[in-house]
Amino acid sequence: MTVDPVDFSRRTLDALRQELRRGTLVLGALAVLGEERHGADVRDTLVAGGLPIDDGALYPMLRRLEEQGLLVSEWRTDGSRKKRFYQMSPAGAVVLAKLARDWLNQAAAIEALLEGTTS
Amino acid sequence: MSPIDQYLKSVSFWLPARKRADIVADLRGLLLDRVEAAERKSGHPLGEDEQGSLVAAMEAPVIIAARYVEQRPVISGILAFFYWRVLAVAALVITGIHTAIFGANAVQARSPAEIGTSGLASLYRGGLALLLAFATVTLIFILIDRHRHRLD
Repeated sequence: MTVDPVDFSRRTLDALRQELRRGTLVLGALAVLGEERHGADVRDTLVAGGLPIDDGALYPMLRRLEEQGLLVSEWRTDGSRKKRFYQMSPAGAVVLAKLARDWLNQAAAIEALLEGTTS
Repeated sequence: MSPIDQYLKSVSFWLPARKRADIVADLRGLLLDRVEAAERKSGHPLGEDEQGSLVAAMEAPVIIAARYVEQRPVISGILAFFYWRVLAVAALVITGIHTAIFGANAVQARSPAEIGTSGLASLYRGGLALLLAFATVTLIFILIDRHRHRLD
């Protein structure tokens, strides 16, 4: 069975893009949760900042980060119903600082490498 | 039962008991957020049909439940490669042995009925042997994987 090279490339590209995004979404979520936010607000902020994410993926990620001790959450009444508000924990702040430094170092390294290939 | 409650009931089936209530509350919040956003956009409260369309746009309950309870695979990484290889070899060997036994019995059989009986017996014993091999190989690799991760 032959595989259409265009289709194969698109699937490969989609898979690689997903790998690239996975870590950045955690970094992005921690970055916006320096202040207390509701899940939908986190999503809107990430989307507005250029990190689109479906809330079906975001909410489980926020829960996982909370289980890892990087976030704290609280149910509060907002308007007519209870909503869960998340905020970065002190441990989350430490992790964010380290991840941010790693990210900036890696971004600088990749930029240097790309300059070599695109020039 | 509303479309949202039906969806949450389907998701909760796949969730572990100790986390179920909290995750369902989370998901209810997510769905109500979507309802609120849709109502803001449309300018009117959503009817049951509209809520149904909104719920239909969600991922399948088993998929969304899996996102909440992501676990390390039972047999992970490079070990999984060897696991499937060992299982395949075990299945080939067992099938080969029982085929040979059936062949030998068939040659000695005095009637087609005896061949049939021998065939069924080989199928039964071969099936049991395959099940036992699968359980044994899987258990051994699970133990190896657990030991490997404990050392990490």
